[in-house]
Amino acid sequence: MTQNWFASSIAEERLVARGGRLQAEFSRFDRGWARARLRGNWIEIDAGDTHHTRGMPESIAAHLASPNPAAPSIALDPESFAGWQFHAITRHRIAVHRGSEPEEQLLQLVVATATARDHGHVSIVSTPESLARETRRLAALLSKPAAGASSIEAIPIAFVNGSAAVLMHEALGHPSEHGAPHVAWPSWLVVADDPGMRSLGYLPLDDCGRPVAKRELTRGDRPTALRRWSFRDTPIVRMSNLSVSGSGSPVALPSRRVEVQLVEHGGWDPLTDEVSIRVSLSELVEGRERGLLPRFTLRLSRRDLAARLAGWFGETVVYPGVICSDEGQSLPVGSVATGLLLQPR
Amino acid sequence: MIETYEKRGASVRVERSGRSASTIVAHEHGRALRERGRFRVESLGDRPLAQAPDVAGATDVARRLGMLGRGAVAIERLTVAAGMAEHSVAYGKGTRTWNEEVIRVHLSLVDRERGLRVALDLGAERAEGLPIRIALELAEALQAPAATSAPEPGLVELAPAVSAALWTFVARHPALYHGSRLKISQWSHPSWAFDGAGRKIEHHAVDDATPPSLFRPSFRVAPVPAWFHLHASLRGVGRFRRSAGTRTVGLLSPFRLTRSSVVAGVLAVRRTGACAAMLEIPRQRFAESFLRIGRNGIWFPLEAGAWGSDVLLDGATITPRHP
Repeated sequence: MTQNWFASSIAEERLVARGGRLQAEFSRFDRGWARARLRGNWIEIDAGDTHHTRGMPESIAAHLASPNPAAPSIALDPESFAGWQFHAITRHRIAVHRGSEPEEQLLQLVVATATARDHGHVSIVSTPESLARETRRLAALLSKPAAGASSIEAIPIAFVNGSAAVLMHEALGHPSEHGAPHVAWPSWLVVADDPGMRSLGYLPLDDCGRPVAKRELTRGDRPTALRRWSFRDTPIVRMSNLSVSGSGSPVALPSRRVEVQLVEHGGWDPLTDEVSIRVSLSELVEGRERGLLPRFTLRLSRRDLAARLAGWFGETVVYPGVICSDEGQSLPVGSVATGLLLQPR
Repeated sequence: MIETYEKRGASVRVERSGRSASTIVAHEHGRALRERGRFRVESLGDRPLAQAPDVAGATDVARRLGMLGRGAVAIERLTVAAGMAEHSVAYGKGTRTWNEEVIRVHLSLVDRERGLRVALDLGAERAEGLPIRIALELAEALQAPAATSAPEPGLVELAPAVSAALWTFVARHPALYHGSRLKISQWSHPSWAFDGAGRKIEHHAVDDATPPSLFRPSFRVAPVPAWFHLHASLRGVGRFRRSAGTRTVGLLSPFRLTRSSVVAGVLAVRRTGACAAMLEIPRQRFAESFLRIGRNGIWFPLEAGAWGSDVLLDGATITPRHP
């Protein structure tokens, strides 16, 4: 039987830029502890929000007695971002595995949501440090003109801005968490989960206080980290930081293509082995002309996707964030990728 | 004026999925404040509830349901959550307090060979009150041989799990039944008489107006207006004794509106076996399609609750769906 302790303190605030200032509409502070025992394949967890309980390690008790963390402040000019919504989150957590040193971690996130005319809500996940840069970039993208009416069925799709990490998150990340049968991915494609990467999912030790390691998912490996968001959740195998890269020579981009910038949500269905990607922001590129496309959904089997991947291109780019929801738990997953080119059917 | 809501609760959650199997026992004490459009929540941890949740009951339910996966049918996800809570709401000088006990089940069964997934949610005050037989009926239907004959046109029966989901959907589209003999109402439940603000849940016809009751599934989220314990009945219809050749026992995909119909993917059972099918109820004569709505209701934890019962339909079509 192995045992570990975990405590989390989560401060959240939802704000809207209105009337020249940021107005808080919702704030939440959540704190508690969990003691997990592993009996064979079954995890037994006791959890609560009291400050002390029998057998609690000193480091956990000290965490629970520490001052409440505050949600990160939004250092933006509300006039310039009127109508935008911000969800600011600070999570301070500590994990103690029997016989090892306590592992503390502080994570700060801001989910920024813009409401664009003719385009609905578009969100990015950022950190307080990169928020100004990424919101400016999003605002610039949203200000572009709309593309003329065009069917995109027969046009190659280039995943840019790190968005290929979201595609492979669904097509390789989740299946690897579930131990799904491996698909024959192109030999040039390298997709890895790396908890040690300094990104949104950075985890020197996982949420059970255990060591973690980089794993190459394109070789059939599984992620190593057991993750949970709060003390009320079951730790399960989850991705931490997904990276997508390519070996050999990059592919040349066709002059007419769709460029995917941001993804609203995605999914993988273990029953049908189908991947779906809802693209919230993309451009139709025709030579030097560029125009924003309406939202669209890409739905294809993993085998079909593997067969249609034509190559990689460009530099490695940090995608502006993925909040991955699975088994009722939402967790940030760091996402970096080169571009990937998908041929039409 | 500030509204202060406090909850002290003890719960157990037994979870089983393809990736983990766990039991979580939690004690929590939290507070929510609402003032002029701002909602603030914090965990307090000062006074945990002394009672222990029904771990044995939840574990036993999980064990019994865990045996449903046989042959090509597997349990994709099973969650049994049981809890008890003491609630209080203070608003101005008044304070309301009330207690609740609940056990809920979420079950997702899959037939990997036929590519079928059927989900079911059950709820009761205590473990012994859970209508486990509904899960057994679903599992049997999934394990049944594929129906060899196409369903004949005629009467279609909806099982309680299907009709409860239908009423939840229909309540969002009052134009489907307004002014007809089909009546959709907020109803009562003997175990859960109060809404998220501690007010008694009154019978009320479901209409275009904002629901009069507040739904607060957790102290962590702001309460929202919702219709509680949805209930359907037919006005001025006598007893109808004919039975249907096809019974839909579970949903494979949720109800949705098309231009001409209310449709859903269903698991349909006939004498010759079971099949995945598309149920279509014409919009033009939606309310007239209902011949009988059974009086023996079973409560389902869909949104803020819905009563389902055996329902007989005339004029609906069942079209087998081939994988």
